[in-house]
Amino acid sequence: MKVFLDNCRTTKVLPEVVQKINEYMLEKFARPDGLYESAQEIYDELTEAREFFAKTINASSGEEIVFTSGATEANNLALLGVARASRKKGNHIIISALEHGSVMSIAEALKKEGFEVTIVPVDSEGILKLDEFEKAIRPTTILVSVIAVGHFVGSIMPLEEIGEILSKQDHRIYFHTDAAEMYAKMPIDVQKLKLDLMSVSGHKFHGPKGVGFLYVRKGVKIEPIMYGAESFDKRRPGGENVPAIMGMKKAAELAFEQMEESYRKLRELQEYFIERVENEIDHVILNGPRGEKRTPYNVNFSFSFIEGEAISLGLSLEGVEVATGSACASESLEPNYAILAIGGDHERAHGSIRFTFSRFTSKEELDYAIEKLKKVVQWLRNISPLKAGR
Amino acid sequence: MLKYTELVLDHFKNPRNLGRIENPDAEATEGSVACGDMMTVYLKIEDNRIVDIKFESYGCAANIATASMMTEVVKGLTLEEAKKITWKDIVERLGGLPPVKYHCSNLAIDTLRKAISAYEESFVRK
Repeated sequence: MKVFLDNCRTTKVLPEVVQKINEYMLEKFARPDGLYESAQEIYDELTEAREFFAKTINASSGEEIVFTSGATEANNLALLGVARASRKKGNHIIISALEHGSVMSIAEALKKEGFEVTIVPVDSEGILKLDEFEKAIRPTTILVSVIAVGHFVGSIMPLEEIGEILSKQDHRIYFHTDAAEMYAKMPIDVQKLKLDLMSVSGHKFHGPKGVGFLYVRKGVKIEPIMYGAESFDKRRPGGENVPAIMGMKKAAELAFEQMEESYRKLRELQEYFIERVENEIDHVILNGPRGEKRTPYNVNFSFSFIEGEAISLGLSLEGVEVATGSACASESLEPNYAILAIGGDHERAHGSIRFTFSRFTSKEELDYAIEKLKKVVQWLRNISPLKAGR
Repeated sequence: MLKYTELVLDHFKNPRNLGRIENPDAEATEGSVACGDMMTVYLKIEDNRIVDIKFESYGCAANIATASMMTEVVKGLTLEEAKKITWKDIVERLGGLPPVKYHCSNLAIDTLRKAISAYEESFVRK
């Protein structure tokens, strides 16, 4: 049996999605900018796709959707594009301590361009500290970027409260979120959250890799980060990846149809999984919040006295695939920053394992994973010179 | 995921000389939990020869595998011979390691040498 529990990294592509992609590869292969019938057909379908994605987030128009190669490009376009376009108004940007690696790197790059970046801390559950956030706002602040769901510890960020605080400022501050782990899993309303920009990635909800979109509210000043021919969207030139976009649309349609039902099912499975691990394995720490403050798609535990790379490799040899925050599993040999950000020490980071679900995850798969987890943890604890009370 | 050789995976799955020795002639612990790898080595020594060696490991797969291979290599050697074994010998015997994991083989050698030093110093004191 093989159990894939790293769905926060990526998900399997559904057959219906592959079928859609094939249709746009083999038959409807035209580009939308030609002056003939097949091109016009693609133009209309792409416009329809933009309208569809706009509706899923309550955006006011399909023109606010910019297709990209994924969330990393969407994050780059949002942060670099908006910061550079607003440079005359200010040079200060605020992000959270749990941003995805792409936003962290973009912030570093922006510092080299003369921008100042404040990283607002999170609490022990991984939720942004709103009082510290409010204090970080300056007259020169032009952009705020806060991830929708902490991708390692599953904490849902207080986007509505952030939007509210930003709307009360006496100058305009653009609000961006990286919603790769939230879109198509939980409802998102860009009006209610007062979002100006939002990044989405197709392969996080059973769509293809290499495609995503950036929501850009009408009126937001944004510079392109690459340049191309006149016939393209000026915000993001280059021919659209039509097959991938249509595949992502199909994946989103299926995800939204089942969103409520999946949410309920996964919440139950999540509670079941957490309860069994806590009852059946000693010396475990749940990283991140419990209940409604946590996405039902994520569970993250630290196992004391043992190291995460060995746990994940041990699980992999048993057919269970997970992620770890151990330094030993990273190229940089740095312990996971999310665990440190929520106040964990190095040992807790090294011993952390992330289990992430998809709506197709079953109880049977989790039962199998728990049995293997118990076996691997017990085995590594036998090997370890560290023992409880020793 | 880092790529390991079949032999590394074999030593990870079935570590040789795993566990503790009661009343060892020498033991040493190196590394730290904060660093993410730590190891304890126990030695049984007769006539300056390592007649038994066991280890415990808190660490990644490379840590466990290099410790296991080290014990296999030095078991039966004299202390002088064992001191000459380097981390490169261990990596070679394992058919290679990802470069980012070389420090794990260092830890195995360092812990061994520390245990041998502890043994030798115990005689100086007597």
